[in-house]
Amino acid sequence: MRILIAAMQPLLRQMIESAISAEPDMDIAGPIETNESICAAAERLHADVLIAGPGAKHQAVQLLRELPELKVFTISGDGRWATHYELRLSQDILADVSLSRLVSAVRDAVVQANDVVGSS
Amino acid sequence: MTLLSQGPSQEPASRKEKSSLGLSRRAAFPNSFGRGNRAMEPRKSNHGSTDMFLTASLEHLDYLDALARQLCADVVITSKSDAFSKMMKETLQLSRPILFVMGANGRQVAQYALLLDQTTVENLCLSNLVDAVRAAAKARNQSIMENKEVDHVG
Repeated sequence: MRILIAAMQPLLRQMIESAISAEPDMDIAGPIETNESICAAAERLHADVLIAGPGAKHQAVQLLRELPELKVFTISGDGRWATHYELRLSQDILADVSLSRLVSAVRDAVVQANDVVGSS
Repeated sequence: MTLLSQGPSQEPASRKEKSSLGLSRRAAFPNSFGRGNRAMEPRKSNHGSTDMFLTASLEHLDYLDALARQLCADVVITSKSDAFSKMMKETLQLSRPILFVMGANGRQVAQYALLLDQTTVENLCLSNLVDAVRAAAKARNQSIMENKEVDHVG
């Protein structure tokens, strides 16, 4: 498992890196190069998981749009909680579909997807 | 919103006409890549939806994912059941489009989408962060394996 750590206070970063490095099944990916975006680094380094500071919260959805398989954790500023963002496959079966209902379902699905992106 | 339909197309590629859904159909194969196709405005119609239009119709699934990307499709509608494995294997590279697979009888539709899921780990300590990261990475790898298996079945 390749873990990328980014945009985090040095002390917290050091602690997390130490904990990750102690795990035999995990590797620290990196470093991120100068002027390289988190997304570009995650892609280049084939990261499975990104752990980032609270500032990356607003980038999480954009990151997942670019790299939908990535798992993203953001750590709060006080280090007391983390938020895990991921994309999950959802399946709905629509029975007895008429053309108008299909059009309505298409519209609802796109509006819902836009709401998720817009509200993040 | 932009729709990409998969199935036999009866009309010439350059011809615009109403589809059976009452949507404005445009068989469009833009000559440039990227998201520029967003600028294409839906045409108003008397009895169709004015906020949707069809961008293309494909004979084969081979280029479905590539064309969906190129046309910035929000939604793909198909009657091919193997479109699921084809799209989801590659659509995991995309957060969109949403995929609608119509059943053979035309009355049942399966809707697939990737939705954002957000969970909070409270009372964080290094050990439970490591556990959560491991679980997430395993779920990711499991998801990739499952999609490969689906592909083999298809």
